[in-house]
Order: sequence, then C-alpha cells, then structure tokens
Amino acid sequence: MPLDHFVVESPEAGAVQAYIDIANDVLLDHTLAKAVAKLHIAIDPEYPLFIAVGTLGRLPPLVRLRDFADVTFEPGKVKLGINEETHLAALLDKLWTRYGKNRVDQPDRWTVEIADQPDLPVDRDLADLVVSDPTEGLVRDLIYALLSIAPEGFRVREHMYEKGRFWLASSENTLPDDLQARVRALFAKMGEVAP
Amino acid sequence: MILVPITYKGGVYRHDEIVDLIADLGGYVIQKHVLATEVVLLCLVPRDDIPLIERVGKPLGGEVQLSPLVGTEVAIVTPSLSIHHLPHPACDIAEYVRRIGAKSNMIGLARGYGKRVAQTSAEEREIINEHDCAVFLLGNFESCIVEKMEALRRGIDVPIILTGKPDADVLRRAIDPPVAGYVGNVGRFMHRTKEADELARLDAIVAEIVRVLDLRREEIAKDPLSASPARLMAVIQEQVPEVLEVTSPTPVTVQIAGLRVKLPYEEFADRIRSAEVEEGVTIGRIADVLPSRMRDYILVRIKPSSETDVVV
Repeated sequence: MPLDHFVVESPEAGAVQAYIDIANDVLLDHTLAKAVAKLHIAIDPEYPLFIAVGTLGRLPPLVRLRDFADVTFEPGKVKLGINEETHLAALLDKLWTRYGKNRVDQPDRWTVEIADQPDLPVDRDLADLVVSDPTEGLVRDLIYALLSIAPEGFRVREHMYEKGRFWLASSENTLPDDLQARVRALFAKMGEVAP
Repeated sequence: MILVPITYKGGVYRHDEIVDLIADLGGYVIQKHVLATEVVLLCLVPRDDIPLIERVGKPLGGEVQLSPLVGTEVAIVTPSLSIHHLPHPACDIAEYVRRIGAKSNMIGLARGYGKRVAQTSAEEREIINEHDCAVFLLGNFESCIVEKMEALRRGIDVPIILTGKPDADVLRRAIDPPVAGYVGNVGRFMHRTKEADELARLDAIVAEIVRVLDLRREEIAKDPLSASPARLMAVIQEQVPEVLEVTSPTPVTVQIAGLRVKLPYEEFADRIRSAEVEEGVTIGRIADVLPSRMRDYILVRIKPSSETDVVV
C-alpha cells in the first residue's frame, strides 16, 4: 500500500503481521488506500486497547453550487439550471432548510426555482453555496474501516477528525485516562501533531 | 465389511448405474449433487470394491477420491456473524471442509467476541453438541484466545479443534485443560484464501479434523454402535418416504454416531422410532430419537451395542 507511514505495533509480535494484512485488506476494500497518507496502529491485548492514528492525503475540494449548476437571477425568482444530478438531493435539502419548501420549486428534472421576494431576498452569492463536503463521507468511511480493523469486542469507542488528521480508540473496557497522551505519542511517532 | 468414505465425480449420463452398483455392493450414497452435467456422489462403500467402482465409472468419465470426512457433521464456530469474521475466514473454512465431504454448519455466536465478555448461550452449546466436532475460529492474540476459550468451551462435550494466529505448539502449551486439536497460523484475516500458503492452512485444518474424528471413531469402535448411521439413513428413507421430499441438500445428515433427520419432530418422531431395521428391531430400540435444537429437526443418537445387546 502506498502510505508514507504504515506501522502496526503490539506487545504480541505474532499478531503484528496479521493486523498489517487486515488493515491493508480493509483499506483497499473500502478504496481508502489512496486517501490515507499515514497510519499508525497500536494494539494492547492486555488492557485491551486499540488506537489508530493517521493523516489523510490531499483532501477533495468542497462542492459548490456553481460547480454543477447555472444560477440566473430573474425578476421574482432565481433559476438554477442543473448540469449534473449527483448533488441535487443535497442541494434541495440545503435550499429547503434555508428558504423553506414553499419557496423552492422544481418544475422539471433539470430546473430549480427559488422565489425571490423583496422582504425575503435570495442570497446574491448563492453560486458560492457549499452543497457538500466529500471529506465528510470520506471520514465516515474511514471510521467504519477502522472499526472493521479493530478487534470486534471493542465496543467502547471514541474518535476524532480535524483538518486531515484523525484518531480512533476502542476498547472492551472504559478507555484509559491517559488516552490523549497515548494518542499524542503515536502522532509524534509519525512526525505529526495530534489534533 | 469395512465401509470407506469416498467422493465419486462424473457425468450425469448413466450415473444411475454407479448409484445401483454402490447399493448392490452394500454401500450407501450419503449425498448426491447434480451440477449441470456433473454429478458428485458422497458415499460409503466397501473398501475392497473401490477398484470395481473405478472400473465401472471410468467409461463414464468418473473419478473416485477418498474423502475422509464423508458421513460427518462439523460445527464451524465463529465469535459472531459480523464483518470481522465473515465471509473470511469462516465461510472459506466451512466451504473447504464441505469439499472433503463433511456436512459443515456455521455457528455464529451471539456474544462470542471480546475476551472479557465472551460467552455462549445454552442453545448455542446444545446445537454445537449435536455435531461430531466443533472447530473454533479465534483471532490473532494468544492472551485473548486463552482467556476466551475458558468461557467458550464451557459445556461443550464434543471434541474441539481450536484455530488461531499463534502457532499450534503455542496454542497447545497455552490451553489448559487441552482440547482435541490445534491449528495455528490461521487467526482473523479479511481476504479470500486463494494463495498456496493459505490453502495449505485450510488443508492443515482438514487434516486436524480428520485426525480428531479418527480418534473418535477408534473410541466408538471399542464399543461398536448397534447399527451403522448410514444403514439407518437407508431405513428412514425407505420407511419414512416423506423425507425424500425435503428440499434441504441433506434431508438425512449422517454423523459418526447418529443422524439428523430434517423432518418435524412432533409429526415424525414416533414413525422413526417404530421404523424396523430388521425383524423385531426398531430404531427406537437401538437409538434415542430426540428433538434437535436446530429448527424442529429430529436427532437420532445410536446407542452402543453394549447398551442394547443388538448389532444389526
């Protein structure tokens, strides 16, 4: 796997290669191998505790309205000509939340209209509206993949993602008090700073 | 007459001749699969007649292989049925064991994961105990395996074969009291077994199951059963013909010392008890006909001859 840093550590040396293989298979199966840049896994079977820390590679850009629709301001309404339907559901969700369902109309498959009223004007910078953040889905998939890598009985979990860096800890018992220190130490081993 | 487990693979064309031949020789067809133009027969046949079956089968494109697990039912026990254990390695092992002739049942425990919380329910234990042996597929850490096995093995009476990532010798040293068999270098993995070294591991599991079941057979041979399970299968098929209409691949599953009949217990148990094996000897006399914990099936446990004073 083309990761810049990929290490599994455990007091039981015999299990290290098994977990390298498991992590490799899971990340490849979930097509995350190219998204993750660094991954460091520490498993202590005695406590028992599983900690995975890592960083993502280049993050996918935000999807804005102008990326997939033409925005035209007309008297009394704003017309959106949809070029690609992929993000349409997310867009409608955002528009309904912001303007209400009674002001958002979809006369046909490729057109969305928003009622533009003087007392309730539509945002003039609507084209810059962030419709979806692909990183959110990526992180969701990544957390699911890390839970598949972790031993199954570890049902007490905590995870964090911030600006391309993530960590997940899981255990059968309550998580240790010094969890943050352990996470920081693992990030340091990768030459990174914990979020 | 010593019956030997074999697999016959050949074309569908004229395979009835092989089936008739096996019946004429005093053997039994335990299971028959018809796969498009190919037929696979799992049978027990007299040892001396194998060359004859090969000779008759040769013009029909038939091949005979020894399959030591024909006539056995093996429980493949996994800590759960989650993505962590399925489809690999549990399904791979269950399927591989079937190729050697065993009827394998996969049993995913409800709470078999976690070294501190692992446990089995009474129903799970009883279902596992209905098999000839149980293969426990545990994980990669020795300390977890040792701690979990103590809980998982409780109440299991059938021979246990333990698999895990540590070497078989390490497992053998660590598990106390010992279990019947150990296969190391397996553990949890998340890809399909297709490389040569992975297939070698599956072969090692099969070899260990064969070894453990041979010991079980030797144990049974010291006090032989009142009737062979395969013979009782033929009797049930003849006298309770409803079983032939069951769509399950093995309506009557043959075990080392019993049978699982896939008919409702309430409706058919008495008919099976009163089925005559020989004049005056009914199945009810030489075997316990019990309700199985698997669905509403019937479990037939054949008694040893010392208990019944009958060998048929």
